[in-house]
Amino acid sequence: MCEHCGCEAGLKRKEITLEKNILEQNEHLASKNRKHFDEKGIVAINLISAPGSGKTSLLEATIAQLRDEIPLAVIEGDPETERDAERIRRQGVPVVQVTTGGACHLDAVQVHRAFHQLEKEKFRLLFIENVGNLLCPSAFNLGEHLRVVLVSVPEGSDKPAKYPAAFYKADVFLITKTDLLPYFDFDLEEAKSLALKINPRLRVIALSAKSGQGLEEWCQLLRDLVFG
Amino acid sequence: MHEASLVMAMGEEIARLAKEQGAKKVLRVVVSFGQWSGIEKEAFCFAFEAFKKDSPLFKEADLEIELIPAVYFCPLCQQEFSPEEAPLCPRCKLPGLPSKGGELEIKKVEFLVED
Repeated sequence: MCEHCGCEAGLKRKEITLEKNILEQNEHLASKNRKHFDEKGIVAINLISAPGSGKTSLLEATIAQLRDEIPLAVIEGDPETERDAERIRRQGVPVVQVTTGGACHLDAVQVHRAFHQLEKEKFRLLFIENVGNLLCPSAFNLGEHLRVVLVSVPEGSDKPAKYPAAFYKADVFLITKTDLLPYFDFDLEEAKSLALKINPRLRVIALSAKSGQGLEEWCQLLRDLVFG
Repeated sequence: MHEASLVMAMGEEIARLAKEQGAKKVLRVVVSFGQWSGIEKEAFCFAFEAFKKDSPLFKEADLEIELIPAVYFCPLCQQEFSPEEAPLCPRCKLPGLPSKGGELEIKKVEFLVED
């Protein structure tokens, strides 16, 4: 650059083709997480949904069902507070709360640090409850083996059409709070077919953590992952 | 609003490359996003404008965004196809597997370097 007037004499334009993932750093750390999980024989599940879809309630019901068969641990992601972690702690399961300080998603670094805090615990199944948000967490790979997206009955059956990114990258679609079906205009078939249009390989399970309906199918899927 | 985190990550990546290349300025950034990437184009542009204000290297940078349509892969005939409605293979009528559509990519960067 010209030192006298700051003009661009002596400089040229240079174009570089990168074709590089914006989140390459996160992807790299996620694959490290995955390696850690695999070395310890741990299956990691990333739970993604809007706030209030019943992620924590599902965890409580799942823990009650599986605690005697599979040792579990939980990483809780929330913008603030220890509330969700306390709910899990009451079940006697090791839990680490990650408060993102207002951020809308967990990333691979946060999961890596949280996983270190669980180092002394022995477990085979790790649930990572992402920050309640159906949009942002879907971009961030955490190194999980299974990505689960939840939509509850009160949210409406058109959710998959509104938030395709979450469904595109998921492995399992859980329709939660089915005990409320009689009170809401939720079309199970519509929700299912909209999600399958985006991602035909999705496994869809409808369940209620409250009544226990459908819970066994979900627990069996987890058993198959851990022991299969 | 994870677009802000993405802009930050992208900025770090490009700044590292700029250093390697001995670049004085970033003139142009081309990114490509898949149809199902979950990126809001306007939110990304907004976050980029905010980022530019605090990053001298990017002060004059223009941002171009390309969108990549979703493409599916048929496990039977091994061909890729772009679905108009449901992602069923037009030949085999079987559900395809997602192949393209989740991309979040820095495609090209144009720098100002010493001649």
